[in-house]
Amino acid sequence: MLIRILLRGLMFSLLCWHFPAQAALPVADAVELPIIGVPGLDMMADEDLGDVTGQALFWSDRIGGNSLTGSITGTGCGAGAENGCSPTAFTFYRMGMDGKLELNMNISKFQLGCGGVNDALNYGVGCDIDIDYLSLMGRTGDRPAGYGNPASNAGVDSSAVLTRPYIELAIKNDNTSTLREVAGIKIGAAFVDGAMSIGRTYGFNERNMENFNAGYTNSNVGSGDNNSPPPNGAGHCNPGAPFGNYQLTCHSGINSFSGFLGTELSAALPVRARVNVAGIMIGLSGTGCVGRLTNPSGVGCAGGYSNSPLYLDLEGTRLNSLLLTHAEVDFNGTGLASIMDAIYAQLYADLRVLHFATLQSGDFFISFQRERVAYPSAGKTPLWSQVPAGNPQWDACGVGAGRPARCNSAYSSTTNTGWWMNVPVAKLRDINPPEINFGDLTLGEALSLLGAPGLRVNNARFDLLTTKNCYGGASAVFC
Amino acid sequence: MFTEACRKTQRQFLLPGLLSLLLLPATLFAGMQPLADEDMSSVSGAGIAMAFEDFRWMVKPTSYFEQVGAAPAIGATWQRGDLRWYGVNISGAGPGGSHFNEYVGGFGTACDASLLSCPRGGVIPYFSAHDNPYLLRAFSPLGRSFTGAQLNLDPNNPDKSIYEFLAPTQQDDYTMSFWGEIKVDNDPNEILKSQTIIRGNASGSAFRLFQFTEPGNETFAILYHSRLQGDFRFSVSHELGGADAQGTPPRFNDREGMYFRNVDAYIPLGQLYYQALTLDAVGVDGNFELKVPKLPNNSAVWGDFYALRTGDLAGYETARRALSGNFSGNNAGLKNYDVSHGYSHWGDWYPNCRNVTGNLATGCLATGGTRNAYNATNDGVYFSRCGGTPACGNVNAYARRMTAYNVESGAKTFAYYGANPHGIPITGSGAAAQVVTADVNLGDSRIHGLLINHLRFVSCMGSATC
Repeated sequence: MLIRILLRGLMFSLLCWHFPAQAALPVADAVELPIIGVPGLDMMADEDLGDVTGQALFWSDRIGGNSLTGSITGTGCGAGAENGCSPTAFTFYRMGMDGKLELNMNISKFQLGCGGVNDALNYGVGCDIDIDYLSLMGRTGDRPAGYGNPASNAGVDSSAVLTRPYIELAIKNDNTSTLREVAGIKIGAAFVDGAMSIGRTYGFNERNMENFNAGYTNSNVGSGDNNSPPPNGAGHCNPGAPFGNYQLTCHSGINSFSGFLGTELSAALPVRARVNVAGIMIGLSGTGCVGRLTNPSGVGCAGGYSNSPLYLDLEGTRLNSLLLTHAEVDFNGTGLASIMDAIYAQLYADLRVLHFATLQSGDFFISFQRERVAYPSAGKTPLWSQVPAGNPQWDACGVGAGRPARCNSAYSSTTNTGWWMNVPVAKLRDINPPEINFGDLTLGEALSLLGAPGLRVNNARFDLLTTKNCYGGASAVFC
Repeated sequence: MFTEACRKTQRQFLLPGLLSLLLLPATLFAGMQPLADEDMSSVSGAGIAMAFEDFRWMVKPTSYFEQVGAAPAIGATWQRGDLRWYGVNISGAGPGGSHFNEYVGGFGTACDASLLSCPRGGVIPYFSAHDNPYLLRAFSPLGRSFTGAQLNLDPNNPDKSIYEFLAPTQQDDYTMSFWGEIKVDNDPNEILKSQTIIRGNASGSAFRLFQFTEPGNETFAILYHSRLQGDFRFSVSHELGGADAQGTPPRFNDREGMYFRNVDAYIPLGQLYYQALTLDAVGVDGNFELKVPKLPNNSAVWGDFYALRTGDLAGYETARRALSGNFSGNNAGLKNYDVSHGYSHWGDWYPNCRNVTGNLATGCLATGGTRNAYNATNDGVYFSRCGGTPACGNVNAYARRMTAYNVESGAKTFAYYGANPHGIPITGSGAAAQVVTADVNLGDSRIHGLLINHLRFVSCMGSATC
């Protein structure tokens, strides 16, 4: 009794000091307190305890070597062997959480794997993955939430969603404890739905603060109007430049990327040029159309355009640019263009011009490993079977005949040594910049349009935008 | 702040209780003297300081705590998972230590706890020194509410109090380790044993409890600012073989594993008083959510949170300068930048920029640090093969970079490991080129300027859909 009174008093003193509102509630007169002196709690009988069941939050799995469809190990794992290829049959242990993680965040510098063994990939960038100004948020369609509207707070109000996140260990020689080794670790989710806004864009004559360099020249095909250096010269931006380094200087973002991108690409590129035919300048104007466009007629791709999806499997370590060759592009236009149904182009793009990626994927992960590892896909079944029903254009594995061989494997695209990001479904659709003026082309340059590999264009103006992920006025983008 | 109700309650219970103590036989309180009311009124409680010198906390390697699993509701993709953490200990990082394979009369095979090969050490001389202790206290710090109002401007008349548990600002490095079991499908033949060793300290960390200030959601709030410095190792190889019997502590191999060296991390979850980790029930199936709610769209609040340089509207220049620690100039809000923005560094070498040709040129070098060799074991992230007899084979590191993609045929062109300015030895050539080595260093990494706008984890237990 004495202890009960004393403890009750001490408890109320503490409450009064720090939570006066709660302590003022009329509790003491009505409640006969238990010996531990905490109001509002009743002792549970054993029978009550027996009714309580805890639900398990964590799951696990063990996937033995060679146990899934499409496994390729040992001598079959040479150059050219893709999914399922691992030099050794690893055993994989997974630990996952039965839950959903929603996340919105900004990272000003995201660098993984700087230096180390992948410096053996000779010259170039120093990190496996190197991204400036990365924002993770939700999406609307194939764009980050709020894309294209500087005043919208849809980005910062949205979330990327990772469903059933998990960690997976790649273990070598699992059956022999003295030779057992951890070879790689993967962090993934059964499904990821969201978007990333990447990098920074500059205005006219602004100096690029992330990629300053002096003294380079701006060489490219054609003469192109607005393709002249900005007043302060090299290192400064000219967003009006239709292509080339003065356009590239307007961008910072992905300095390097390592991983697999199952990309769907579509673009409608309005172009203009004059072709010098024996001293006579003949105009050429039209729109080059490629891939599956949401509104082809609205972007100059009408008149029987096939509008078929274009899927590109891009992969590798320390990628800093993409070079697409032998790209056949439907061409609708006037002048010389009126006699061209299709042209061929080589598109070279530094990764810094890419400012967003949408993620809607069942096998997204980031991993790091000491050797090549083919991790089991999240669903552990052939990739084509993981395409959502009724959505054949989901990715390259959704189409019927003609899908890539990797789609028949239950393993993700084989990783390289180092850091690796697996993005099986990345949409880069409906790229539709303002008119690209090539200026004056020689006849030889014009003829290269008619056959593979095609006319090469470096760093064309795509006008892809970053997305605001902060509150504040229209100017507030990254915080 | 005492309300009248509080004072009444105190009179009803506390004073009689204390007075009752005085009636007890004096022999029960030998050496104690009764306090007069005047003495009691001059006492004010501020906190508890915990000074631990020559400290070690260690349990037997067969002691554990367990997360018991259950069969999942969603079919064959997953199985039941049971996780156990054995032999958790916090001990010294100096010479003198032991492995987990305790035996009758002994602590286990002797080893040197100043190395990452040794999981358990001696005592920690100054885990929390008497002049820099762990601190548990009630406090009323300055801050901003969810509605934008500043709180506790008058220290003599505080608006809101918190409880906080503060780590020392400096402490000795120590070893924290455990060995674990992952058991799949409750099958004794599907157990993976592993060892985790952390050597460093968590000085500067803070854990705070307070009442959240979001109107209509004034719930229990947690703030955790985690600071870690040190090294980490995860390994699975056993030194002496034997069966993987559940509960039997192995002697782990000295060498094998995955390492993170020179880790320096600060992860802020929550900010006083406008952002916090909160808990709530979800539905009626026993599910819960743990979340950091969305920030209010209130300029006073996000002004503190973003901590932009004066004149920086877009936010990029603040982030860029913070990366290099250049806070010169108008810094009115920047003092809060390092509190609201986290980071995690593993190693010390990072390129600061990249010019348009893709090469690291003069003026674009990493600031300080050392670029790791392909087989470095003193920095960054690396994997080591197992040692001993028989030793594991060397690792075949392999990577390639796609240089062109033929859209028409789908054919890809690659560049491979080859002649390089770093002198990395290559075995084979072209598509067969590899780096064959006992230790594979993946380089250094950093995540900087990390700002969590909001997050939410919600459990889906017992549901086929999530």
